[in-house]
Amino acid sequence: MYVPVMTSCGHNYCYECISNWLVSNNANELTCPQCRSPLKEPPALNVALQNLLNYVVDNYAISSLQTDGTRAESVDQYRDDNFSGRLFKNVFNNTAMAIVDDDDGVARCSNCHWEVEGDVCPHCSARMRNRAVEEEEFPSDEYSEDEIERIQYGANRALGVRDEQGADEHSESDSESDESNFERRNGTLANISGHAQLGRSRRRFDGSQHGSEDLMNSEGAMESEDAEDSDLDSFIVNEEEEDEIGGEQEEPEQVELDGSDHDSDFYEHHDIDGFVSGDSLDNDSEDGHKKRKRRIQVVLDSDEDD
Amino acid sequence: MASLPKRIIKETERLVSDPVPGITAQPHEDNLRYFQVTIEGPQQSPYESGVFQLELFLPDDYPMEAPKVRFLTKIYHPNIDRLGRICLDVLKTNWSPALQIRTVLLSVQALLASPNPNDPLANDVAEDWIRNEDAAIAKAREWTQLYAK
Repeated sequence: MYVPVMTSCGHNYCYECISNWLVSNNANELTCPQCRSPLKEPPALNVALQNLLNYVVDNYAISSLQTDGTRAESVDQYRDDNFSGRLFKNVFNNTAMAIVDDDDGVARCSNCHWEVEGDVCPHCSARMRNRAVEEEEFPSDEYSEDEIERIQYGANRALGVRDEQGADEHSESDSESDESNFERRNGTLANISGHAQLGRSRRRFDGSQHGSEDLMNSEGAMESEDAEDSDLDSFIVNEEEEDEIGGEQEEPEQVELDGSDHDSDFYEHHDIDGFVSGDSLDNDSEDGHKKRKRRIQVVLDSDEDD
Repeated sequence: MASLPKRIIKETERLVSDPVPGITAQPHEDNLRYFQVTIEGPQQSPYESGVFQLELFLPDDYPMEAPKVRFLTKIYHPNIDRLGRICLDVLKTNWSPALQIRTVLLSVQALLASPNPNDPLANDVAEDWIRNEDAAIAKAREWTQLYAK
């Protein structure tokens, strides 16, 4: 060991050996071989240890000829790498951030926008400095099975809350313009946001961060529309009660996620799916009821005929 | 065969001169990266008094890559399948170049002492283990008597 380097956890390695390990272990998080603690910073040259080792080699080594050769090689290698800024075979330089795309909720490499799974970009092989992909997984014990299923289906398509909102908008604002619909929706979100404070600390989405900002901005709009929104408020109160009965308070969290990455376009599309809209469901059931009645009557009629 | 890295020579020397109790590892004459290993079943385990044959191979990238270890003796264990492959974290994702042949073999011996049916490799064995642990341990003992003598 002619070029000892020390990791941030205090373990010393030969420069060449630790470089080889870091490269071969590049697909995972970089760790110290001795204690497995993650290495965020490149190890640094341990000059004190190097002087000590040189002293030992110079005074006690058996064949100084051979050791001189390898020592010079090792020292040169380190100096060259250091000079060219490619220490540790560049594993600490080629890094990127995993960023969750607002449009589809997929984590992407900040270098090349390739989809990232794990710690390394499969396209540009940059190592991720953050672990967005892993953090996206939800701890199963905090959510009901149903919720996990919905969340994993895609945070952007968290159906439950949107359904209710769709119903909401339909029942009272069919004739209104899309724009006012959108404002109204923001108001609704802001109302819920207070309720969601608890859940916010647990959120780990980049996207949802923007979501909460949006909510703050829309707070003012909400206040000015308070009177208009009274119906919505009563609706939300109901929802909160349901939540309390259910014992879980995750629904509003999803609302925020929704708010973060969709514009009013999405709701237009959403309206087309008849089944998610509340009043179309109502209509369906009413129609069905009438039809059934009619059918019964027909049957009765035919009975009478017979 | 290319020249053997100094680390492998050192490890081999130490395995012979200072063997781990209950474990032997002999390098093959033709291939010094291939070891014939025996592990004694740990006391107070179903494998007690058994002597298990294993093979161990050091890949070219060793020690950057874990050694390949496989049971040659038939064994009834939830984390060892019928081909002798071993489900052990330090042989897979948790490998570290700070580990050695001797520490890996010690880990295998420890695995014999504490089977983990919740992370199975041999699913049928693990199911037996969970369903009726006493019967499974009896069967493991029986197999030890039958095959690991």
